[in-house]
Amino acid sequence: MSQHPTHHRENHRIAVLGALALGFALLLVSCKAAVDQSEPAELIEKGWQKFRLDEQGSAAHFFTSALAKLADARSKSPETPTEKRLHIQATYGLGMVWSLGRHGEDSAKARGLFAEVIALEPKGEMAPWAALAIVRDEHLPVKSTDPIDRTALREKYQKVLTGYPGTPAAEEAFAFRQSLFLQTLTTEDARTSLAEMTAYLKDHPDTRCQSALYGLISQANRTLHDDPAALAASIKALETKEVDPSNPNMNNIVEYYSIGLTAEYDVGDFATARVYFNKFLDEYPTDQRAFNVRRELERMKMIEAAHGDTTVAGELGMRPAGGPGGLPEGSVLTTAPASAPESHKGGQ
Amino acid sequence: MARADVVVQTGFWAVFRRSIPLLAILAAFVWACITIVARRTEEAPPGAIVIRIGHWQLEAGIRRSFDTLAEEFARDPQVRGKYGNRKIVVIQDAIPEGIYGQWATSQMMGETAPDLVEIGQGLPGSLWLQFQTRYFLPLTDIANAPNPFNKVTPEDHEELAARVRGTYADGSTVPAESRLTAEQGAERLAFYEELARVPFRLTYTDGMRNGYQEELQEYMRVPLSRATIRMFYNKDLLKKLTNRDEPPQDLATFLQVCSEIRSHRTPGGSSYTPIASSNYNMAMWGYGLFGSAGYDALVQADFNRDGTVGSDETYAAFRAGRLTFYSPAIKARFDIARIVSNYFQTGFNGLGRDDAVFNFAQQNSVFMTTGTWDAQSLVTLAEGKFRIGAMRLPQPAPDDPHFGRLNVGPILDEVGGYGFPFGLTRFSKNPECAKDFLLFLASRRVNERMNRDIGWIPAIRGAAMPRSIEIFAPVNQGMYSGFDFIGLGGDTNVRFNQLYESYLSKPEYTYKQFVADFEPFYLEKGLADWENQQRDWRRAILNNEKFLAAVRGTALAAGANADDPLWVKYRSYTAAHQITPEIGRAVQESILRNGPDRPVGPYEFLDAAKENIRRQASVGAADGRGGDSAP
Repeated sequence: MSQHPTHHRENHRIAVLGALALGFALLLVSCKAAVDQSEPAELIEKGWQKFRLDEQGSAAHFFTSALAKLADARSKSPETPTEKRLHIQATYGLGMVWSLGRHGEDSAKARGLFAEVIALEPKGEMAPWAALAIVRDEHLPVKSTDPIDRTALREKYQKVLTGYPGTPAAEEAFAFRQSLFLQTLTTEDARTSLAEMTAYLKDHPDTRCQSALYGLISQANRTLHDDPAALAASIKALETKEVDPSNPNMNNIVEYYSIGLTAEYDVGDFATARVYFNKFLDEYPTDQRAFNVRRELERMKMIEAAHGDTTVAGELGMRPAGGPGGLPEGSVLTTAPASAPESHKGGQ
Repeated sequence: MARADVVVQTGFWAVFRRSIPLLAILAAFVWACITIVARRTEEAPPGAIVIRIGHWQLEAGIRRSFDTLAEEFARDPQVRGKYGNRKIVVIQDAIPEGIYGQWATSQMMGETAPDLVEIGQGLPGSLWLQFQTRYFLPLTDIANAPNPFNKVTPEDHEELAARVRGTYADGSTVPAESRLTAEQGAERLAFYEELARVPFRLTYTDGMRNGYQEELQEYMRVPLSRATIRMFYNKDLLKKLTNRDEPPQDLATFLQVCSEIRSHRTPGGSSYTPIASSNYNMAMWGYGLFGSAGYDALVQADFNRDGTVGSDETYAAFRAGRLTFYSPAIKARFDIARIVSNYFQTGFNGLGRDDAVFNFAQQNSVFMTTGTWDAQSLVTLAEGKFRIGAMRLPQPAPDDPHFGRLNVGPILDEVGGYGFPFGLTRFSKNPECAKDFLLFLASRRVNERMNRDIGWIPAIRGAAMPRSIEIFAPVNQGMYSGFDFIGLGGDTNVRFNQLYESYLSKPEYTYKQFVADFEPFYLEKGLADWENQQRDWRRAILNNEKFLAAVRGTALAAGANADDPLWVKYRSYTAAHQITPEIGRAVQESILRNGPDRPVGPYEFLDAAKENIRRQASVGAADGRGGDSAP
């Protein structure tokens, strides 16, 4: 069958366009291949960069590419210690993509990858982090309404603690375990947790989690209504707090403020309250709470002048709800003389 | 079926005639291409470094100021030293506020965004956060290094010497308020040297907190100005209607003045509206005067003792019965809102910002409350017609019979009032130069000059404000709102806004009715909104975990030791965001469901504390010293 010349030209154009598209696709593939030419360590670094930007597809691509390159190397010669380290790190990275990046899509896959990390080097640096990651994957609900089995999770954190004692991952697992106890707000759990934390701090005086644990001890004591102990633990938490100097929001503003209030209102320890309120004013004089802090200092002075009579606290204006204030019902429009001709609004 | 024959005319003219529309389109396209290329070449000659900057500040003063400073930047010796003789061109994309969100979205999606983009307008905060994650570059590197444009120059030395001497180099006299003693001059110089030495972030009056994105743990924005809320007034009209030169600062007298203004007739025969307002301006009043009236609620609602009360704590306080709509601070807030809004124009809640400005510019109103960012526009509008004054919002006097006892200090200006923030996009072809331009704008000298030109408040330490706008200076110590209803969102927000609007606009709709309509709804349905808020928070926990995984993964891959900043960041973030907050949430839930286990408010004494205070006082009295020791 003969073709019309116009159709012939049309086909020609389509062929040219097709060839161009093919060329473009090849160019893209070659670019991607060029990316894959990076060394595994570099690919892992890029993977974490993408993970941080929440570009999980790209992160998975880089971790998978690193794994492929390492597998290729393994097929040619035995794996060196460096290659094994990278192998473990890439597997861990890919596990994180499936655990957190695509949370709930395929938890089995994520946990399988973490198990692989543990199996590759059970005594290695990454094994405790992988073990902790498995428990965190279970702890973080897929849907925010999913119930949390605190008892089961506490046991799982305990296994990380006993399986990898002395490691940073184990310390973190211990802190999460205590947090789970204290979330119930029962005196029984608070006592259990308090005993565990006290023993842990005795056995691990140099733990990097000191501040977090003292913060938790303070909470346990609050649940047990032991306010002086809660105050002492809050102060220890502050003293051992690690501050990230690069984060301007990481400061002691709230700690000074709340310790001051606890000392003043819960314990009646004005000396301690003054120490922290004054630190507040020295270090953060322009923070909005400094206004309240000055008022608290004034209030304490007034109470002391009244020989410990706390009822004078109302003199400063901060009073319990229900006292006088505002207008009597129905008088709202009579405060200012209404001489306007309209009963309500101006004439716009 | 009949078949119509179509006769196709051939020949050059016939084809030409048929092709005219196509040719016209083609010609327009070619013309547009040529114009664009010609304009671009004119704006940015080949080889030039082009910095595009996108913002929503259409005020002429700001665009002019940017142009002037861009030229200065290009001429700066440091810049010339770094970029050689390449021409540097800054092109502004000034986009109207109303479409800024759409514009930013299309620019980001199309990967055509300018190098520098002003962040924060037209889109929800969550979307801007996503944009910053995906399309902006962190600025942490420049935040942690000194700003090279703060270097002390011979001009600084000369200026300080002149201020000490009392005469400038040209023989003119230094104004009295600018003079310095030799000691003050030396101190000022030491301060300038300190600014040149410290990390850029510490040159900000707030430590650059407003440029930091907590979720990303990076500095993402460079703010260039600050803003506060003030009441602007028509000086001439005030004088004409009330024979006053200045408006009164105490609320009761201010309301009397409003009443007096309303008793007068405009040339058109209608009553004057004392205060020009709209939905937009109402928010300014809400934050300022009305919010601060509710300061006292902090006593009952700041359960976690962090010095602020969020919508979740407010709800918990109401559920627990610690606050009611008849608590003095709460009622005072609504009372004052109603009294003041009585002097707004009818239907203000349905009006927009421009309506209020129009009303003010037409001299139908004497007062208007807005941000200081509007000051220059108002002055321009009034030019040749009337003089404009500015004042802080009026407040109840201490002896005010109804609200005086609740007024325990000035109104705090918005803490986060740092504005004009720019981020650097990933699409920048000259990121280094764009960063330098930002540093240039945020250097002490330039920031002072830029803000002086546009009438805003500088963001950099040591950058002076002109005397003419001293009234704009932020008040950083004072009362702020001690509760928040609408932050709960959802149905609570909708219901509150509906009823609040009725309360403010219908005289027959009393506070009692407002409470009867809103309180049961709030207490019952608010729980669902609170639970939704908790779900959002739980989702945030997952995002935190992702961030932490990335920090941990990077630290492990790099073989960082335990003291490495990455691990410090990791541990401090884990403690602050993942371990303890869950307990705070549990405490709040317990307050909602079971009531607080603390028998009195968070700023009230426990019996044991009272006992201890009395004991110490008696011991102190017995041994002749103040009772001031630990139990």
